[in-house]
Amino acid sequence: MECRECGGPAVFDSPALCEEHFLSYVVDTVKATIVERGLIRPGERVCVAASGGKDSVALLDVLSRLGYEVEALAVDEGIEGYRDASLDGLRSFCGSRGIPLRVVSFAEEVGKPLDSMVGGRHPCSVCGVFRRYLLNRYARGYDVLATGHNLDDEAQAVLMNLLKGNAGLLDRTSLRSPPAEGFVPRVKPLAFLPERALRAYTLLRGVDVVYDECPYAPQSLRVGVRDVLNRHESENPGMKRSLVEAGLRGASHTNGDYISCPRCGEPSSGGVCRACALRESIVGGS
Amino acid sequence: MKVFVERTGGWRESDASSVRALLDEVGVDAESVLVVRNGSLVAGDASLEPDDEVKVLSVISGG
Repeated sequence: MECRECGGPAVFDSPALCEEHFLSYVVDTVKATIVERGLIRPGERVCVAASGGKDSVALLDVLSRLGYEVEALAVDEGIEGYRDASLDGLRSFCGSRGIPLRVVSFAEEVGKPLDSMVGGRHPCSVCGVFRRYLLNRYARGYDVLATGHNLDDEAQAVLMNLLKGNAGLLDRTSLRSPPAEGFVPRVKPLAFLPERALRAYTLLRGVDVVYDECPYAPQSLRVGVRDVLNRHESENPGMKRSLVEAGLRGASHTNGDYISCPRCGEPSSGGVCRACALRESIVGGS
Repeated sequence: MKVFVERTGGWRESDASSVRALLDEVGVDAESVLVVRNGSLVAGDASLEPDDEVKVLSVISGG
């Protein structure tokens, strides 16, 4: 296979590109997503939600190359044998690039590590509530919170919401979350890059990450949806992007009304926020 | 050739003559992996030789 730009040997297919042109393609795609979709405005301070996986490391690398001043915020959920290695890699990466990093943990902020909270509850639901809560709380003061959601994540989310008949969540599909009191706007600069391209990018940049899959992942609907989409993408290249574009066209890009949670002051759709309610049911009131 | 499959963490022997044939043999979708031949990333139509060392890297991470 030859590079579509220079005819040299391709290291990546779909699009067929050599190493040099592939690296430029990734940076240019992120830049185009940010500029054309209005994700980050000039002068805005960017906090990157980072796990140390390929997506967040690629995001930190590309945003730095594009000249954005970035800081990294990581959440240690407390999943034994999973998060420690990626956080070590993240500390090393951020240290080598001079990127400030802050790590907050479920154990300190919620009262227990995720492993001790699951007991009969769906781990992804518990994790998601507290992750979103902590990221928003500790990103306050920044203009945007950039996440490493990639094309696969976004295509999976659109399809999952359709399968679950969850029109409300589908309505919120966006690359920059609409303004809402108490929420730091979330942006997704990697939304048009498949995860395959992001692992290739970290590999070629010499910042490859430890392979890890969350031990709770096999319990999620997302894994089944992911495998179906991958099979169809192989036969119909471009299908994931079409799905994401359809989700964006169908969304109203509005946000609901929120009040301040009477317990913690974070935004809530009504009464005590989900994080406080869940924390009280798991570890008791504070 | 010696083949390392990252997702299972194991080495195996293969006589596949192309990346495509190797992925069929391993039973993984090309969308979910990258293939590194003798330390270099290669595209899906690359050929393989008996003395190559190949790694099949998973692109899936997270939850």
